[in-house]
Amino acid sequence: MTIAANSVEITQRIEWISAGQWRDSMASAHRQGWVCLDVLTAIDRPEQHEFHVVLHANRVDSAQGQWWGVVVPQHHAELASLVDVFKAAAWHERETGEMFGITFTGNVVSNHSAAQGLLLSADAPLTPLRKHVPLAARVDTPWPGSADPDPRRSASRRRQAPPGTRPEWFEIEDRQ
Amino acid sequence: MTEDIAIESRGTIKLSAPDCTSCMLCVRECPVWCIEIDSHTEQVTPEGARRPRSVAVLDAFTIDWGLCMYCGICVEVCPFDALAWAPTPREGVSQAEQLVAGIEDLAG
Amino acid sequence: MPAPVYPLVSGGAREYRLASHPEIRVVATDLGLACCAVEFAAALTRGLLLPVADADPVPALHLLVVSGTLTHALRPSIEAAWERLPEPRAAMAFGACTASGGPYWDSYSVAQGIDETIPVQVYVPGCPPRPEALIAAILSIAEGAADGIRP
Repeated sequence: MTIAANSVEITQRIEWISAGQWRDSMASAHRQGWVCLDVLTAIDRPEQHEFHVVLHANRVDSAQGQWWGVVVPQHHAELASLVDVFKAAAWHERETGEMFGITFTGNVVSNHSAAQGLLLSADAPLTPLRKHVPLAARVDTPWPGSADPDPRRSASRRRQAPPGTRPEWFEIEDRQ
Repeated sequence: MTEDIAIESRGTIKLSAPDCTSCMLCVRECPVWCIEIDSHTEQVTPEGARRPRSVAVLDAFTIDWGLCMYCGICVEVCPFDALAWAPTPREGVSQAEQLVAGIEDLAG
Repeated sequence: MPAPVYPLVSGGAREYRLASHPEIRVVATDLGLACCAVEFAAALTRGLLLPVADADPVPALHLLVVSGTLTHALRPSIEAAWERLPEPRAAMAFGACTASGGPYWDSYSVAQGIDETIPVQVYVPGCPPRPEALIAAILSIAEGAADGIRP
């Protein structure tokens, strides 16, 4: 699917690269003109025990952008750093590392910050963008939707997870 | 404030309380949890009916305008069209508590 | 180590008059933290707020308009911006994020509104509020009305 946004054509197709080829493939893409790093971040796929690290880069010789992606297993969350290909990767890998707990080997700055928590405050939860990390405010705030005055409506239907939450956040609470 | 605002503008959301059956769909679907409903059921025997029926009676309906993000999901999901967009935005208030609007305040 | 204080000078403090009520002058600073800043800007581009060219010896109201989401990290800076304002001064919470955290009320990094950090004179609901709502709120502060004015 291609979306035209103003003068930039953005393709939503992701070109998937294997983890072993990540750095070499992106270095090759850079040589071929995809020189402007737009974003490098990750998506938590807990059901598959995977991270999908995604990168969007633009050309400067034409109005084009493209997505690349790589699957990183959660039990071994390491990926080659792209700092020597895109200077801007230093920041994005730093943020992604801290938010998801992914180590970008070769990015000294990002791994340092993940240990020190440069972006997150001292009382923030670790790896907050991982889906199993609950949004504490949602867990602690009573959901207005749990009240149901009609006794005929079944209790099981009222058991839906409130919007903005995952059921596992409450299971943990119940078990405690 | 009203002169140049198009009639179809999504300025604020109004409630037609007589149409609300307290089904709770808007409350459950609101992404920011800004709607609260309080109601109870009563037994009513319509004229000529052999048995009484249970009817919902709306006691309280509030929207916290400090939280509302104007997504309109509540308007779309209401099966009885009790919620609707209105063009004129709400005015500012001096106390945060005044951002919570009840049935009278939400009336069109 | 104390939390850093970032100087927040988004365009600085400028003196404006209301197009609809030219006798009303404010020295407004918009702390454009997020999307609501666009609506403040729209009030300028649409000429609802007009920059004042000539200085007036009568002290105008110093207005801090907070437009956008306040993160915990930025709280000291908001406080410093308020402390710097001379009297007469007032702060406006413009938009849902400044009232409650808005759509981000559940985030670990977001303050649930600005009123635990600085005193708020008027809360303008909206996500975002219209530029007209900004003008109405300025009018209500300037006229000292308790609950805002009828649009």
